Amino acid sequence: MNINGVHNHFRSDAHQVSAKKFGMWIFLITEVILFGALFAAYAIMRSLHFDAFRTGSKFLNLKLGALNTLILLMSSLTAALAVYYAERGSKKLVVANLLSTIFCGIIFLIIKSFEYYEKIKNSSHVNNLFAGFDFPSTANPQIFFKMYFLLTGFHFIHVMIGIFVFSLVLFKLKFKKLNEQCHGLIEICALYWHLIDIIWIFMFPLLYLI
Amino acid sequence: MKFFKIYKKFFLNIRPIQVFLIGFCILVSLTFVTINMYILKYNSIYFALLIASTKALIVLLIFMGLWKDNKMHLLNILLALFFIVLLIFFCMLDENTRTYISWEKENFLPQKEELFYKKFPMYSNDNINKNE
Repeated sequence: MNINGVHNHFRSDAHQVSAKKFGMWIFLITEVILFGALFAAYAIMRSLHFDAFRTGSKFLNLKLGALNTLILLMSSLTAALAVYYAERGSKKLVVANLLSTIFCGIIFLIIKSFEYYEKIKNSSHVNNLFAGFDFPSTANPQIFFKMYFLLTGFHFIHVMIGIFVFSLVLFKLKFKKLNEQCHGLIEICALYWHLIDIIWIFMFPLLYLI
Repeated sequence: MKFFKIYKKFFLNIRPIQVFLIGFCILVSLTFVTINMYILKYNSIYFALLIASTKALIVLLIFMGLWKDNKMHLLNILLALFFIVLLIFFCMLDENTRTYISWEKENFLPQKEELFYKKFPMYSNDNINKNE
């Protein structure tokens, strides 16, 4: 690594940042494939147990789901604005937007945890969700809730990782000047955050609006 | 010439903040459209997915900056999406055509047994019992 923080095999800062960005896109593809497999599982289960999915979906809180969607969209906007202001070198606005993104992410997690708590509280055992209700065998929503926890659980973990990564970026910004490297880092983290948003955009109608 | 100047100012410069705000407004409006369709009982999963795809496209193009980014990134994501569609398509194709395990008969049977036996009468229980 030379004195400017550019590794030897890169021509310049911009070259290094563009390589990092490309690496991030490759990583995002693996994430897309991971969630794609989960969505494929959802599609199969839904076609096999349509009544169960329809019944299970009625137990979800649409208002909280919609609120979470709006919060994630808002966080995506603030993440994009953080990149925008990083390009212009305005550190204060970058920090403010990153803080807003983290705040929105935390609110999302709190609402989701509340939803999880509600669902688990209403079931006698986590593994036997809604066992007490008298459903016809074809419309028993257990299978729906297994898919619900699997999909949203994975997404929940990704949001947590996103918040952690943005916190690290904020920590780094505290001690460093806003340079090309920092801008690249913010852009890469924002890409990850947008992907989380896109995944939720698909999850919301599939789980809440059946 | 004036048109090109305006075009350059608004589209070729670094993403203007208005584009983000307009994108966000469209995303919020589309979310409300999906929810209202559901509340008014006009919901269809295909329509909801169409709206979700539009929203995802807006996030990809505007927020992730793909519309003016390196075209290699666009190619990457398109390839990934292609393989996802292929995965889901083959899964659904398999699910809709293959047999499933019948716990009562303990063998593989198609989902529409009547149609299957019409097409392949030799596999019906009556014929099997006769042969035995």
